Parts: sequence; structure tokens; C-alpha cells
Amino acid sequence: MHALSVDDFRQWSLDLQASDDRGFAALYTATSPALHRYIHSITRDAEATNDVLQELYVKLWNVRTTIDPDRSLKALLFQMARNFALNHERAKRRRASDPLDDHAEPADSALPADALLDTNQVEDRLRAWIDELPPRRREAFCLSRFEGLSHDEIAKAMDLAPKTVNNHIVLALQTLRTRLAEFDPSFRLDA
Amino acid sequence: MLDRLPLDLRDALADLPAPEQDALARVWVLAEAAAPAPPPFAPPPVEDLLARIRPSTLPLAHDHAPARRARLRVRTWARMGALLAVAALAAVAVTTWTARPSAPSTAATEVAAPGQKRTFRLADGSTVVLAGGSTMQASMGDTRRVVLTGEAFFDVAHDATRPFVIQARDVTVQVLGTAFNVRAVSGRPAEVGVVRGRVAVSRGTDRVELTPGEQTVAEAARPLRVVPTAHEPGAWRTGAFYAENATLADIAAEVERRYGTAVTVEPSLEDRRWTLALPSAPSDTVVLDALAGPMGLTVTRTAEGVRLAK
Repeated sequence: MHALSVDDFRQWSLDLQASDDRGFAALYTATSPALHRYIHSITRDAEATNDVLQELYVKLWNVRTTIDPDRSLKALLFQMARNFALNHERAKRRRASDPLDDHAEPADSALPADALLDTNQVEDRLRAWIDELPPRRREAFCLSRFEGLSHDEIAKAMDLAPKTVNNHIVLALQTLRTRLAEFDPSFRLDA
Repeated sequence: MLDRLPLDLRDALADLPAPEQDALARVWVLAEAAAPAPPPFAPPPVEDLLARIRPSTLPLAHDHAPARRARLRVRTWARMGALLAVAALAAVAVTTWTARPSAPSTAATEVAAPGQKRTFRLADGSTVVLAGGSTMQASMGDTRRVVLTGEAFFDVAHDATRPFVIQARDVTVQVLGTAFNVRAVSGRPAEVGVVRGRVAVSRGTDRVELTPGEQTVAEAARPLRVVPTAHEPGAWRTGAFYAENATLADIAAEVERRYGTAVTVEPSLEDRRWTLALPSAPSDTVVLDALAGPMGLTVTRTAEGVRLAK
């Protein structure tokens, strides 16, 4: 999503208002990989991810005439993705409490602790430490770092105050820096 | 290092001591290569999505009304032309539809007489096997449309930009890229069964989606239901003959379509129901024998056809 400009999203908003399904297809092609990653980070389930992704875009099409080109379509997409994915998780938990449905996979499939010990790659370590961040902090950090959302867009998507988003991202960086410093002393603050 | 941060992150860090800002900026830069592993599968193809949103835009698109009228006029004209062409070339077994780039659509009517089975390749690369006693009109425009009376098996070519829609009795079948069977014979509810991929079947505002192993029978005055297929849809193509709890009248009509043999049934027997599962029925005799023996009927062959009686 880094490469997509505000103008791209504005044009797609106008396409949606005009019920232009080719513009809609272009929007899907350009944005679905990032939303797919985001939804998967919440559901951790292949089938659920694809279902939620499609529901999201079908819903977007259904409400297309109400879309305001002056507001961030990108933030709206991530907001919808998050809400749909969380709704799906809630529905899954309700089903899981039903004794007739006997397999409820835990949403988070944590790696065994020693699975990472045989690699010295800083990136692998970082990836693991990012994964260990508190869920909402990890989510805000990943949207900022890997999906290129602004803090305001993250605030809207996650329904948080912009100040809280700032805090999450700074705290995430501080946690990662601490872990890096433990792993490699050259990352100490005074280095 | 700080200049590699997004502006809003730089603002968020502004109150921290400079060395810490630098350290966190280094973490930010390092983290670039540490994105979480992507999901081990791709998002669904865009045509799946388009197929799900297009039904709502097809028949009632008020905002495109002028364009739609124009297209309809062209299609009607094109269909008349195609009918004339079919009449003139009645001896040609297979008609190919070639979409000229300048023409908005091409249309043709195809007929498989009772006892015939015809295989067509449409201009878009899709394959249709048309069962005996069936008629099909195809128009390959922006939307690929087929109107079917009778039964046909479709293997539809993927084309994200052009939906493939079949009108069969009172149901609309929206194809999401796939192989499936449609049965729309007069006097019987329309039936759709899927072998591969996915199709959406709608009637008015009612809509179901079918995946392999599922079929729907569009019974009058009942919502569309999804039920498991009892037999592979389209097995008639390879000579199978199946009838599920069907009336003798319906089976007789099916024999006539399939083998071109006119079958009359004694009126008192018409509503009797029977189930037949014949994986191989190369001739009407196989079907009629399988019926007559267990049901205690007599089969009389005349010049006009076959008569089933007590």
C-alpha cells in the first residue's frame, strides 16, 4: 500500500460512487493483498481470511453511494477489515462454546520457544519480537511499518485516539530496541 | 536516520532525547525486513468478487439505462440476423460464434433435436454440451448471456471482465468460473448441479451459491434449497440415465429428449413415481426395460414410437 497515493484512493472513491465496477476491480487488485495480510493477522485462518476479505469488499460495493471521496478510503478499508475480522472471531468463539462444535482452534498459534534459537538472523528475531508485542500494539505498529498507514488512518481503522496510536508505536519501537540491545549490545541507547 | 521516518512518527518522537530518537529510528529502519510472514495463500481472484457484486448491477442498473437500451436493440437485431443465418445454413452442424471487435455482441440460437447431443465451443472459449430436445441462445457481449430451454452442461472459460449468466426457466445462474449442469425442461423445476468451481443461482431476490457436490432444485413457491447431488451432474453426457423419484410422464419425456423416441404412457400411469440409476444407457431399450420389468408394464413399439401400459 506504500505505493498508492491519496489520489488513487480518491479516484477509487469516485469510481465507487459512480458504480464503476472496473474501478472497483482495480481497487481490489491494488488493496486486497494488504487487507488479506491484515485480516490474516487477526483470524490466523485461511478460510476465514478469504471469507472476511470478500464480505468486506461486497459490503463496500453495497454502500458505494455513501462513500465520501474527501475522507480516507484507505482508512475505511482497514477499519472495515478489522471490524469484520473481529466479528468473525467473536462468532467463532460463540460457536466454540457450543458443545456440538468440538474443535475451536486457538486464534494465536505461538511458535515453541526454542524454534527460534537456531537462527542468528536479526530479522527473524525482530519478527518474533514483533509477534510478541501486545496484540493492539503489534497491530498499530504493523499497519504503520508494513502497510504505510498514517497515524490518523490507524486511529480511524482501530477506533483509537491519535495520541494512543503514537504511544503504541513509540512503545513498540522502545520494546524492540530493548530486545535488540539484549541480543546485540551495539543497540544500546548510548551506542 | 530520522529522515527515514514518516512525518507523523517523527512528530511522535519529538519530545524524546535526541539519542533515543536516533536509536528508535534505527530500530524502525531495521524492522523494514521483519514484516510478519505473509499468509500462505493468495486472496481470492477478482472475478469471484465481481461475480458477487454484478447480479445487483445487471438487470436494474437505472444509472445505465440509455446504454442498456441501445445494447438491447443491437442484441435483438443481432439475434434476428443469427436466426436468419441458422435458417439459411440449416445443414451446417456446428455454428461458431465469432465476436468481431466492432460488434457489441453476437447472438445465435442452437437446437439439439430429440435424440441428438451437440457440443459447441463458444467464442469466449467456453464449452457447452447441449442435450437432446434442447434450445439455447447465446449472446457474447459485455455480459455473456445464455438462455436455455432443456438441459446443457457448461464448462465456462474464465473472463474476469465478462460475467457469464444463464437464464433457465425462472432462475438465473451466475457463473463464477466452473463446470456445471443446468436442467430447465418444461413442466419441471429448474435444476443446477456443480461439478467444479462455484455458481450462484438466483430467482428474484432469492439467491444460493453452489459448490461441487451441491445442487438446487427450483421448486415453485418454495425458497431455493441447496441439497447434495445424488449423481454427478451432467452424467448424461457419457450415457448415464438418472431419474430421482420422477413421474412416469417425466421419465417418458426425458426418454424422448434423450433418444428421440416418442413415448406415450397410459394416462392412469402418468403419475406413478420411479427412481432409475443407469450409469450406462446407450439406447432407449435399456431404460424402458429397466422401467417395465420392475413396474410390471408392457412396452409396445409402433411406427410412431413406444407405448407403456399395464
